[in-house]
Amino acid sequence: MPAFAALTLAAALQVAGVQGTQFDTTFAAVRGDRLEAHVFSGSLTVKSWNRDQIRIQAAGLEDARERPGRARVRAGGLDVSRSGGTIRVQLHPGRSGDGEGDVTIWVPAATPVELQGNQTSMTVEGIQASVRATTIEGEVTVTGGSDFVELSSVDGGITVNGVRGRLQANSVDGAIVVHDVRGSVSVNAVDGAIELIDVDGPNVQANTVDGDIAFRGPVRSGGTYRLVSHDGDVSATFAGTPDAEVSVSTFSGEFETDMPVTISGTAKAGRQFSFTLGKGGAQVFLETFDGTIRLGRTTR
Amino acid sequence: MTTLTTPRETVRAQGEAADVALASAGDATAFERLYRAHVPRVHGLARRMLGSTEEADEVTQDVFVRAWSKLGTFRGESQFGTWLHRLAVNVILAHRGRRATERSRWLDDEGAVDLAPARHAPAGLRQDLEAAMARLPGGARQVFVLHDVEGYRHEEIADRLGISTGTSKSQLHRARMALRGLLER
Amino acid sequence: MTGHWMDRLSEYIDEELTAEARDACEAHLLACPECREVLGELRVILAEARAMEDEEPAVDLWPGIRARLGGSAARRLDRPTTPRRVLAFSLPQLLAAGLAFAAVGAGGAIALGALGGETPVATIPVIGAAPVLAPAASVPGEATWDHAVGELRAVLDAGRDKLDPRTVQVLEASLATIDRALERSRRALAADPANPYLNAHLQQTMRRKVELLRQAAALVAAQS
Repeated sequence: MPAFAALTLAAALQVAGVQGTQFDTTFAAVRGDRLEAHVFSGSLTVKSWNRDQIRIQAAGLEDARERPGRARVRAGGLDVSRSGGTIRVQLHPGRSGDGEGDVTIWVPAATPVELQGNQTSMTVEGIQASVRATTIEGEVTVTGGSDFVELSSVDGGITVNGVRGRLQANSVDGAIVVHDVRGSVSVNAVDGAIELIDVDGPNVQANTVDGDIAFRGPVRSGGTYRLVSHDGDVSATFAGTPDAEVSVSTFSGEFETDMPVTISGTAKAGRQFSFTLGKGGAQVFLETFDGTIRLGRTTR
Repeated sequence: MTTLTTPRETVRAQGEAADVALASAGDATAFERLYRAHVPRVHGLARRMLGSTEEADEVTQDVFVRAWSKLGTFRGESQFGTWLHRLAVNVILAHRGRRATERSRWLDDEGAVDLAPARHAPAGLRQDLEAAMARLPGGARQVFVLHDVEGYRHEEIADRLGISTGTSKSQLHRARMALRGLLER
Repeated sequence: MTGHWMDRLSEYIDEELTAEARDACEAHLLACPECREVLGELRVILAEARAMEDEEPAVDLWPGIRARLGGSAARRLDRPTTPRRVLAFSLPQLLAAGLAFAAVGAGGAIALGALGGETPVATIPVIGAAPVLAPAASVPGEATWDHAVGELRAVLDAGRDKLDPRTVQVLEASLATIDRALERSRRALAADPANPYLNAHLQQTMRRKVELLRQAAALVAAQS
């Protein structure tokens, strides 16, 4: 066939939208596949498995559901398609429903994942590739992820565990809990506490307006660690005695430490001072407008 | 088929005033958002204009580094994407590739496409059209990309490339005919 | 004749022929299957060119770009607009901060004891150096922030009925949190206008407000 005629052909594999209580399909994965899934309301779970296949399971598509304050949900339609290297799974509001359901997808671990939802809780487990998950209302829970993990919820907490790569997490109203990350971390909340435990930077940035921040991890030479709150306590616990220049800033708060500190310079109005730990090298900024700043160390 | 992606053009327009303001203030995270939103278009433009993914990677970086330094000159009279696109075209046209000297940048009266030194064809799942475009002489390819892919008018193309409007029109037609010939094989 | 019109098919497709020439061209096309075939193929090429989609590059170019933004971005992001060599609390301020100490005298050492009966810290020599203020990096003025806030606020206000009421509630509550933080920061700054921390904190809080409004505007757009 002349090539220019071939240009006019579409190259998508499309499964017709399915309506029904249950949906379950498995098909071959292709190396390099990426997953994009959009569930308007309900739950969206992505898990890795050892097969070169993709399985999509959906439940509750027609079940009438009642949630406090929500209208009864009627049937919804699910669309699955492949275009180029992207598998698209979509459960969206349409003529026949409100786009609500519980969708679970199994993919090979190396599959990059991008999830979107409105009133959707999201869970991702065991992916060894980039993960992007964005919801408006719902919790986001990710275990695993590498290269680049970007998570966002407006109304809902974010929980992350075991990222090997860069992490960015943003919540407006919800706590952000991050454990066991090897890579730079940038975490932002407005109304929510932030907990960063066993986070190995070299660059860590945590910012909240109303909430406490707690960090525990090593301090790498040349790294930058910035923990900033407006109304909340800021606690940093470092492994051993790090080599860092520490800057502490607060307007109406207190400072506590069990570290040996050397404060240089003369006093000035306003609670702001810096000191050097060890040989210096890393930059640490601990700031809160109104709260206690604590600096401690572990023996690990 | 319903697409999954959010209407990025709309989202982009709404959010960009803030991101541009933030990036102007030195916020690299905001600039990264601008980068991620616009890199597909900038890289696509560079790749098609230069006929090489490797050069497009290099020039795309040049474009965004230049944009960062020139952010202060963006006044908001146009959309940020429009401003960035114009800047990208300038950077691409000024680029001196590492390719061997072309015998000619333009298609002659014969319209035959010189089987130019094998150029690295765009990788990945690419349509034959883009592979064929890479085989056009540079000037003819640029006219084709600017007019048929990017939607520029001949007057603007002539102004950017330093040629006459008549040359722009004739090179466009020859490029289309040459592509037709290449795609028939 | 075929050669003449064959050469002008692009002008025909692009509607650049005069009315008279267009009529003549169409008359020729009716009689010339070869030109009709070529015309069809050129239209396909044009359609495909217009429909070309953009994709992200196979390689993430951001790290290379970020590295080249280098000094300017690093200076503005990783270093605060506060003096690097910031200043120790005065003795009364240290007392107020809840740290026990024993003053040894000018040029001597201050021993700080931690609260709560934990291990006391080592002695702290006070160096009588004059404060060194780093030059303030350029920051957007209030007008720039206000402009961005105004634009985005208008988008949110115009589109709030497109969002779930609960989402609007959360956004407004968080905006109120930020506004309270801004108000406290401004009041503190009014009493101490030269305070570098307060200046930086106000800038940063304004930035948070713009970022939140940007996010809200994006939500409105996504529901449109």
